[in-house]
Amino acid sequence: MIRHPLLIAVVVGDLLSLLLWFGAATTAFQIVIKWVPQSAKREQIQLERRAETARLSAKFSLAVFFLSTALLIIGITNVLPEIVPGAMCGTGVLQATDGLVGRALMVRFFVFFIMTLWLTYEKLNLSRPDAPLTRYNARVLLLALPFFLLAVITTLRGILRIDSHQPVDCCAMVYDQFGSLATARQIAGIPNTFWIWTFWILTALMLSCAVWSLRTNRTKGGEKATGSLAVISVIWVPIAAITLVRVYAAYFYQVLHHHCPWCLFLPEHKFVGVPLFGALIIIILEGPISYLAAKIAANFPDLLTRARRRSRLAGLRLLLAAVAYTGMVALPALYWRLLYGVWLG
Amino acid sequence: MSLSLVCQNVSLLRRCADGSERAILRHVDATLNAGEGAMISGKTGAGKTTLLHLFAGLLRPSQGQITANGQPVSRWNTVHRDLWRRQVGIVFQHPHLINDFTVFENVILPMIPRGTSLRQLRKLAWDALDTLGISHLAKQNVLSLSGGEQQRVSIARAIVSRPAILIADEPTAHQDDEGAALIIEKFAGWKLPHTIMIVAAHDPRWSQYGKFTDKHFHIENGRLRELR
Repeated sequence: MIRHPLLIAVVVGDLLSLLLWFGAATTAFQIVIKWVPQSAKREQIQLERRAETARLSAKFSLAVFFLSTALLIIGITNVLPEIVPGAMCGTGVLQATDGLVGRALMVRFFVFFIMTLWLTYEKLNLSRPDAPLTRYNARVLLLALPFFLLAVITTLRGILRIDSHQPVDCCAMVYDQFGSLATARQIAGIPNTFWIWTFWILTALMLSCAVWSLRTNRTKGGEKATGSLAVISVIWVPIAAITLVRVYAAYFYQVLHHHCPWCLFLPEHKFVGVPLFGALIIIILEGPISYLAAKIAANFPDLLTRARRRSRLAGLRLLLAAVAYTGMVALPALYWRLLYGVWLG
Repeated sequence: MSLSLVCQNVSLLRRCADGSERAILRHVDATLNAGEGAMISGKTGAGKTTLLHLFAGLLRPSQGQITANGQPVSRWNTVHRDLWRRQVGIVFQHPHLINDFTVFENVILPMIPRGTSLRQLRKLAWDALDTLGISHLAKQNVLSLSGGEQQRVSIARAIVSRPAILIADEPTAHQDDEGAALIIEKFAGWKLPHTIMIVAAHDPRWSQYGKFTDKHFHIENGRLRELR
């Protein structure tokens, strides 16, 4: 392990947030089995007080986890490449961890999704004096715990695996992905053109669904619209990420077949990976939340107005993020086309 | 809209050491309107303090509910109840002052979480201290005060936020006649069109001085009766 202050901060942040979430989860477990709303019994009053402490603890845990994830990404993209021999970007760093940190990042994003869902439900829950979602939301909090544990353990194992004396071959890993130029123009054996068309068709569909969900937000059809939006957003994000790395990244790198997502986070490419992947994260979070908030509106009449407002907000955020993302990937390509009269690749 | 506080069929049960349940309050019904002064009398242990704590949202009834302007505040969760409680000023039977703080610091304490500006906060605190004639004690530590003075500080702390509901439990218990007369007179003066005042006392001086009482309730064995 490299005893770098940033990595130590990530480990400490992870352990602290896990501890706080675990503390909140013990109360959430009590809520699941013992919650009797509006009872005057001492046990219930104490449980309500503990629920409030648990809420604060979980919120703090989310904030710390977000911070440690941000630090981890900064470490992978901009700090550790200077320490790991042979690493020029995050690809080399992930190679030094035997891919463990890459896996950890996937689990961390999933945990972050559950945490965001919990926070959304909690805000809706607190909007009503009788807190109708308390028991429901306690289950969401408990659901995150095993994944949280997995994320922290995988991250820790990955960080421990980093060796500053063992060189990696960063670029070789990127270019070894394809044997010939023909395969470089394919993704999973399917030509890039197909993926580009799929991406744009799905983008058009997703934007239409987002507009549809915003227009039908106050009607019963809203649930159908947000459901479609959630499904499309979940399919769209991986396809958008693949086309970005395999096709559109070339317009930022101005080099063909450099299929590396991590170089987009480097200063020489103006940290463009941050807004691009940030938009993807917003879309994959807000798509399902838009649907789940609409479901809450349908099932809890007391929360109808608030839940619909949240569903609408999610749709609006998704729409803005999608427009920003497509603009960011399309404009450099169009500029290139106008300047040189050809598409790259 | 004028504020009203309604107690609907409220009972409070407590578990005894032998596991059985004892009713502290039984089927209490009462309506209190803004601009009225309500007096609750009864023997020691009759349930006066418990009833005040229910009105203040410090306890939750086992049966029935307490509504404020039709909203069932007694059934609300802690976060909303805490917010509602900001409208309530309460004078406890024991002053419950913070010994390490001065009189002034004790008085401004309930205003701090409300985000009031420091200037406004000082003005409100001085007003409350002046009203009760204890502004000369502002810089003293509360430990150096007599029981009666401490009680006046606790009243100042309750009124500093100008609450819509003022609840006082035996506010004249430690006062001499002069002090009691001042406090009763003040309570009568605070009966504003937008304020509900509830006092629990078995001090006969409340009927001697001032014109505080508009509604008189008597509590006995956990049952509430309206006398006038």
